[in-house]
Parts: sequence; structure tokens; C-alpha cells
Amino acid sequence: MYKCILRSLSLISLFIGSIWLINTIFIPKRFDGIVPMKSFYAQEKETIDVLFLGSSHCGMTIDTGVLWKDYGIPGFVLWGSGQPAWNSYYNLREALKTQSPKAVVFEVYAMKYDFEYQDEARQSMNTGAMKFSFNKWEAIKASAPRERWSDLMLGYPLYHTRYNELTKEDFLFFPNSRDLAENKGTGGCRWGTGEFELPDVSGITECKPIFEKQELYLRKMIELCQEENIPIILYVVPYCTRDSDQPYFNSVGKIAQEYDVEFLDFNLMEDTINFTAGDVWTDGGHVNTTGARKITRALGEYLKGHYELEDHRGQQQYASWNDNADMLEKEYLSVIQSKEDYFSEVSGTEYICLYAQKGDYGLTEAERSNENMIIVQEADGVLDIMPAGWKAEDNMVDPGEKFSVDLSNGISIRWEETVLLDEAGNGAAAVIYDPEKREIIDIVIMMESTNFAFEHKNTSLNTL
Amino acid sequence: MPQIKEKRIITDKGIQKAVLFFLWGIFIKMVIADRLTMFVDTVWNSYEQFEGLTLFAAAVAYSIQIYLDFSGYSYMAVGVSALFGFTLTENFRQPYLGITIGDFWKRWHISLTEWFREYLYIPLGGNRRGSFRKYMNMIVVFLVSGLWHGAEWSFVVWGGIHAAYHVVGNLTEKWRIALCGRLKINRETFSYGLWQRLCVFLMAAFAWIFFRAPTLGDAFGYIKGMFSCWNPWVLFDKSLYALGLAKEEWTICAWGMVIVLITSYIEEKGKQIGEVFCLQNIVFRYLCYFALFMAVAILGVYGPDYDASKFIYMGF
Repeated sequence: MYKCILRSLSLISLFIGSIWLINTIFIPKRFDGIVPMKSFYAQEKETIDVLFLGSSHCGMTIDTGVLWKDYGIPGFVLWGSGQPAWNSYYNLREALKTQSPKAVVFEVYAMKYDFEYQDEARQSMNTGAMKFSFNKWEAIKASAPRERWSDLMLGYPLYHTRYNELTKEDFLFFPNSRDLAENKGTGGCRWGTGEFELPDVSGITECKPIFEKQELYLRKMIELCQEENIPIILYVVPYCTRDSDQPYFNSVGKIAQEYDVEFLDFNLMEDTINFTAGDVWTDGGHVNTTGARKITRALGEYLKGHYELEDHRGQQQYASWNDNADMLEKEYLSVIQSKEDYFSEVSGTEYICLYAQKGDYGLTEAERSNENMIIVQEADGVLDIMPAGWKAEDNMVDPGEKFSVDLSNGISIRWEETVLLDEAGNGAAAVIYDPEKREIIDIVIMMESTNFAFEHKNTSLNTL
Repeated sequence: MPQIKEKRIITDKGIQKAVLFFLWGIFIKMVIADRLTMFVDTVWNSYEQFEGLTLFAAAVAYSIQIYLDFSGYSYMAVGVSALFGFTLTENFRQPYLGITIGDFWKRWHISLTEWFREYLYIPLGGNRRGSFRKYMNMIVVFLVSGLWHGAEWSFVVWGGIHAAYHVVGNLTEKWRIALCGRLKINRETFSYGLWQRLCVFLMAAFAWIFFRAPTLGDAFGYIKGMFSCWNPWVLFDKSLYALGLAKEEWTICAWGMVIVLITSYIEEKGKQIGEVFCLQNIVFRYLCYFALFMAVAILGVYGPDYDASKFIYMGF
């Protein structure tokens, strides 16, 4: 009998383990819901000082790198695409199991939604990464009709058919991995804008009633934070079609007043934070990275000014926030598609830029004057660029690491023994190098053959 | 039924077999049969648009699908019963390895065949009242068997076809043996056995068309379409990949069927897979459980988008 029980338990464990393995590998690694929650679980306990919650208007606005580098605030963005308030509420409950944030910042775009349930894909994205728990069960019950509860709880029935689209990333997505710990939830970087106008909503004073279920969970969030003695700040981010939604946000303002919590309506604060239509991304609905930084800084100032938030910069326990800031910086560089914006961004970093040009195509005077720009021209011939020549600190780069630039036949750049670039014809190329981490951050080219179009090259050395 | 009153003992070996049978049953049902359903249903739902070998391929696929579907949940039932200490009788014994239609019916849905033999064929006189009555009794049993599956003429015709196979097979048996002798065909060879099995499979597949067709008219329409043109290129020009199953799905089906074929061959050689399995080391057994479970969980046809096949035989 004892043997039978033991065998049964072993089998049950085997099957539960198998389901866990399948869920870990097969869950879609979506940055707009799954990755933020998985990354949240990878954070060290009691390290997050400010927790940001909300929809894509939160995830694509809050730049945790800026918050860290400018204010020393370890923030985390727990968001999901089109996330309704009920998902934000259960995410908050989940977060409070392991973290004691000094402030919770909730983005209220969802208050314009008037549906009982979000679409099926988003139901999955907003609950799929939560750990198996009573809280997850409650979140699922709030998120979807009864017939989907079991599928959402088990997870794999929804995505087991991904077996023919699995990638390397799917197999390296295990809990507490370094990549997940470095991710603080920020939903990537975006460059560019469109021909937009931001309608003036300052004259709209009408209040429209918020959908009952959304309001219920907004109130629950506020009440939970007040029970836990955590200050909660509500905010909304500017976007192009905001005029029709402003009446809902006015209602949010009234609820905020009722509970005596702060509501930062950035739709009415554009002059204060210098926000313009150029800060709206090409989709018109979200901010680009320059817009995100403006709002993040405004929130950073507010948080620093109103709460006692310790500056954690330099503390070993918070090293992953530093890595996160570097990662976001690198990502932003990789999406910029304009020479002017690119070198302007580079000049604000600690990176070194090796700029090699052949022919008449060159930099503006302003760009030439950047301190971290090393310029190589045709007249220089074949040139080895040693670390000592780049920066005053001779020991910054290993002496074995050197760039060799040859402009005698097109543009050829080598780093150690690896050919980074070998382009024929006139033009220019820039290699962005991080002397601290000793790695290539990015490579861009502007060649005559493509009419000097600004292009990024793959920075993976193995593929060059 | 007496088993219900008997004292049942759940043994370690019983659990091992039960889990294996249950997982194996789900595997062949959900990974292979339900996958084939997607192709079969795509073709059958608008068979008028297809012709020749496409219809032929769907008929063959349905023959495999119905066997794996039915035997799949028979295995699951055997597994669940074993967990509670019950031993169910064998319901399938590699039917498509039968060398005659009679042999096929000794291996297919054994419980039903036994029931008809005991409660209809023998009371009608069986084979004790001369050849004519024997054949008449056979015809009656098969027609009733058809009606048992559903009150449609197509089921009656399906039973009638099997009765015809049976009667004609019996009547021509001596003639066929003599013909083989004259042509100096060795009937003891592997190749002859393979030929016999191929014939039985194709005959059964033809009869299944009537079983699958919603009406008798559809069955005849389907058969007419099968012989309306010669288009072997559909087997090579990837057009089958556009009929509910992509290339990867066909590959999964093919590998699944290879595994079924291997296990069928082992069983045919007189070895009981369950018994052989219990003799293996625990690590191997657990690896088998793990592999089957993972195969079902990953490759099984199920989930919110899945609405294709119910258990085919559930309706009967």
C-alpha cells in the first residue's frame, strides 16, 4: 500500500513538473503582459520602491532607466496591453506579496473602457504569467467568462500549439534568469512621430460615468493601498484622441479627490513638462521615448518631492537597475533612424563613438565637437586606435582591444581580429563602444550606395 | 459484472499498466486520430470540390482515424478500470493486420462482435443448418450491426458490404487457393501476407465511406468523385498541405503512426506491451510516462480553438 501511495505521488509530481515545464517554454514571451510579470517574480524581495501599474500607456511611458539614472529610484512597471483595472488590482495584490513599495503609481487609461471582459488574447496576456495561486484564480474570474477559467488557469491549453514556432528565447526563459532580473517592465523604446495635433482638453469639464466594473476595481486599488499605508498616485498620459476620453478622466479626478489621492492629468500639464505633439509616437496613441522621458522625469520629480525615497544608486543590491538603464539606452540607440537624433543621443552617454568617413560625406560642426567622438578620415590611411587615444583614462580599455580602421578601399573596421564592417565606396560608419563593459553597443552606416541612408548594422559579432 | 462484487486488489503492477494504457489511449486519440480528423473533415465537408486521389487519401485517413479514435478510448477505459482494480476484455487486436475480412472482424470491436455472435448469430442457427442458412445468418448479423450504429441507410449498406465481403470471401476461398497453386504463389511468404492485409485494409476503407457519409447519396457521390479522374500529383504537389493539415502536422501524424505500427507488430508477435513494459526498469518506465504525457500535452489537438472531433464512437 505504502509503495502504491509513493508511486502515485511520484507520478502526480512527474505530471505537474511536466506541465510546469511546458508552460515555461510555451508561454508566448510577449513584452506587453507576460514578460513584465515574469520579470517581476525575478526581482529581489523588498527592492522595488515605486510600483507602476496600468495599460500600455503605462508600460510604454515609464522609463525605469531614466528613473534610476536621474533619481536613483528603483521602479518597476507591471503592465499589460489594454489592461483593465481588475488586472491591475490583482497585479497589485500579487506584487505586495513580495514587495513593499513606498509608492504605487496607477495609470488610468483603462477608465475609458466599457466592457465586462477584455478580448481573449489580452485576458491571457494579463493573467498568464501569474504564479499558480488563489490570487491568480481570482484574477481569472474577474477577467474572463466561466468557460475560459480552466484554460486560463492551466495556461498550456491556450498556447501548446506553438511547438512549430519556438525559438532560442523560449528555452532560456526560466524563473530568476539574469535577463528577467534586469528587465524592470519598461515596454521598449520608440523613435519617431507623425503629423499629429494634440487637441486642447483644458476646456472640457464634463464628467462621464466610468464603467461600473472599472470604477469598482479603481476604488479597490485605492482602498488596498490606503489599508497598506502606501501612497497611490493616479495619472494619465497625453495621446491624440484624448478629447473624447477626457470626461472619463475628469471623473477619475473626482474619485481621486474623494479619497484625497493625487491625480496627475498630464493632458492638462503639457506646458509644465514641455510635452508637444512631437513626443507622440507614430501610432498617435502612445508616446515615443522622448515623450516617455519627459513624463518619467515629471513623475520622478513629483515622487522625489513628495515622498522620502532613498537614492539607491551605487548600492550593490540594486546593480540590476543599472544594467536595466544601460539596456534601455542601448535599445533606444538601436531604434533611432535619424543621424541627427542618433549622434545627439550618443553625446549624452558615456559611450565612445568611432566615426570613420571616406569621401565628402561628413558630420556637422556640432557633431564634430562632441567630446566622445573619434573621427577617422581618408587621409589618416590605415589607423590603429588604441584605448589611450580615446579617453584620458589609459586603463579604461584592455590594451589588447583596439580598433583598426582602413579607408584605402571603402570603409573597413576591425575590432581585435573580428571584421565589424567592410563596406565599399564613399560614406561614413560609426561604431559605438561601451568602454566600461567593453562591448560594441551599435554600428551605423551611411553609404553612397544607399544614398547615404542611415542604417543600423547587426551588432552581434558572430554574424558580422 | 461479477467483478463488481469481487474483492479487488490494486497492485503496483496494475497501476503501472493503468497509467501506460491511459496515456497511450490519449496519445493515439488526441495526437494522431484528432489530427487526421482535421484533414478528413475538410475533405468530407465539401467532397464535391475534390476528386480522385484526394478523396481516396481522405478515405484511407478516415480508416486510420476511426480505428485510432475508437481504440484510443478503449485503451483509456482499460487504464481507468485497471486503476480501480477492474480488468476489461480486449476490444481491439490490430484489426488492420487481419488477413481476411473474417479475421478483421475477430479483431475489431471484439466486445460487439462477440455479443452479436452470442445473441444473434448462434440463436439464428449459426453455421449448423447448412451453407445457405449460414450465409443468410451472416448477412442478417451484419445488416443488424449496421442498424445498431445508426438508423440510416448508409449504415445498413455498410453492414451489407461487409456481409458481401464475408460471403463472397467464403464462397471463393477454394477457388482463390487453387488459383494461387496454379500461379505458383507461395501463400506462406511475408509478401503474400502483406498483399492480403493491404486488400483487407482497402476493402474496409471502402466500406467506411458509407459509415462516414451523412447519407447514402453522399456516399455514392464521394465514390463517384474518387474514380472521376486520375490525379496522382496531389500526393506530391503539396496540395494536401492546404486541406486542414500543414506539413508539420502530417509529419506528426506519420511519426505517430510509425509508433502505432511498431507496437502493433510487437503485439502481433504475441508479446503483451503492458507486460513487457512492467518488466522494464523504473527510469525507463518514467521516461515513457513523461514522453507520452509531453507528447499529448504539446502535440495533442485540444484547447479553445479545437472543436473538431468528438469521440467518433461515442454516438454509437
